[in-house]
Amino acid sequence: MDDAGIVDLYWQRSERAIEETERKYGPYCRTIAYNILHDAEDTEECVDDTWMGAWSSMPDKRPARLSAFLGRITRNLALNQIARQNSRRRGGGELPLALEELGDCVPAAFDLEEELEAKELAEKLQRFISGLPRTQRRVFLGRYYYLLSIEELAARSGFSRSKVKSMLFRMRQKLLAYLEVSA
Amino acid sequence: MKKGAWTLLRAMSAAAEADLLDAEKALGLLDARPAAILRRRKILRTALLAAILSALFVGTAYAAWRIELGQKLLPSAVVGEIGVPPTETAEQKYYLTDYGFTDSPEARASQEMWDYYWSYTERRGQECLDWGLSYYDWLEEDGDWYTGDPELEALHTIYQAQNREMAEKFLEIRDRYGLKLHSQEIVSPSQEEFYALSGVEPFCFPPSGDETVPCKRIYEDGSFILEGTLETEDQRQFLFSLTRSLSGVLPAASLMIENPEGYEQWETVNRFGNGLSLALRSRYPDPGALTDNVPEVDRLLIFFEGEGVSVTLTVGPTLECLSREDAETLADCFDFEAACGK
Repeated sequence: MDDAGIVDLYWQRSERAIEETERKYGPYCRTIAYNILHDAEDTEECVDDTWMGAWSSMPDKRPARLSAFLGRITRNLALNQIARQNSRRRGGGELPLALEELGDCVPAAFDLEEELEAKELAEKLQRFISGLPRTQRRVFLGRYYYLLSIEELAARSGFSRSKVKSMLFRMRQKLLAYLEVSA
Repeated sequence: MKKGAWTLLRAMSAAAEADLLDAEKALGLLDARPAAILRRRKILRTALLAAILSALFVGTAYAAWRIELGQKLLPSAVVGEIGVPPTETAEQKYYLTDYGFTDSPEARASQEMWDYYWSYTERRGQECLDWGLSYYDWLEEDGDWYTGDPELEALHTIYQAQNREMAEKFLEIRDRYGLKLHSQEIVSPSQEEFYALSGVEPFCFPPSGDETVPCKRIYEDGSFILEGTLETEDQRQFLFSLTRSLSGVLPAASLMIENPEGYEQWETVNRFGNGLSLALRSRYPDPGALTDNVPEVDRLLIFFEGEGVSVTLTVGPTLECLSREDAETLADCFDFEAACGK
């Protein structure tokens, strides 16, 4: 079933909407959730919550592309769950590694929360990401949006592991410079 | 963990939908198969070819196929990184023409279309920011503007038109240059679909014997884009793209390059007897020559012109050092004339 058909089911308040969403986007949302949570039970809970979130949003929303819409809900729910957990439990999967890497992008003596409103930072990041060359942008999002491991990112992108690492390193440097300049 | 990293990670959720759709598609994230069984596509795994026949052909025939890089480049209105204010060191970018040379209607129309695309996107995004909206809010204005009209759907899905105004501009450019639009695009076709639509004979001949054509996209007229990885004997890997573009159609994509004066150019004949023009930007033999002013490093371009059809191979940009010998070895992996199909 195409996205428009699934969205119609949500608008009709048909429970088939969840079934069709699960069938088409279940594996995709599980990948996003698991890369953050690294726990099968938490992942299932997060994906169930995603379907509930979609159910609550439609109507009024009518997303043209469900994958990005659902993926964003899943990602936010998973990150919220991590934030609620004890910081010691932030040890699963790629998340701590990605956070460590993103630490490179935070300008020295710079408090992002204080310096920038969340909306402003989001806009800056959106512009930065959209401004990257397409291939680099895919790798950047693969690592820091979808939290893919370096190995998986290499396999999915067709680049070698060392190439992926060097691309990410250069993009982090670029992001640091971008944040410093724009601040 | 450095303070602020968590904030950055959270803020990534604001990534533009178009970018996410592109990434999830390119990375195969909608594929239901477990990631662990995904395999990197390797076109060449073992020793590359040694038999260089070029010496037999060198000499009088050069002028017949010699293509200067300058004949394939048109300046872009884009300077530096798109969406990022240009810096003092920002490089002028150039479109690499998909079909023909810089004076062809296809090349001129493509230049005009992409200049419009990038300047329009930047202007509308800036307006939204000035109004206190987010950069891409203008994308929502027309709603579902293309559904139900095949031509508009093609403009959106194939040419990346983002709203009706942009689509109408693209149509105006198409008409002014007397071109057609691609009407259909198949992403990652099967081998059967690829050969049926393109009408070409096999032309990928890696020594590994794996002659699978790594087609990324093919269009209704048989134009196509391949993307794959070449692996050399010493296990260096190079990402390549090979395009076949036909006359009379507005190209759907355009590669941009910088610093054309940094390319060394020469001609050769590969083992299939194809007369090729090569352009190479290389740090060889000094990989340490990388500087901040050259954000994209080694890159190889190979041009072959048939009658009404152009085939271009690009390798890189790569952090690996590409030598002239590497370039000629890679040129031997494809029968460019067979790829032309005419």
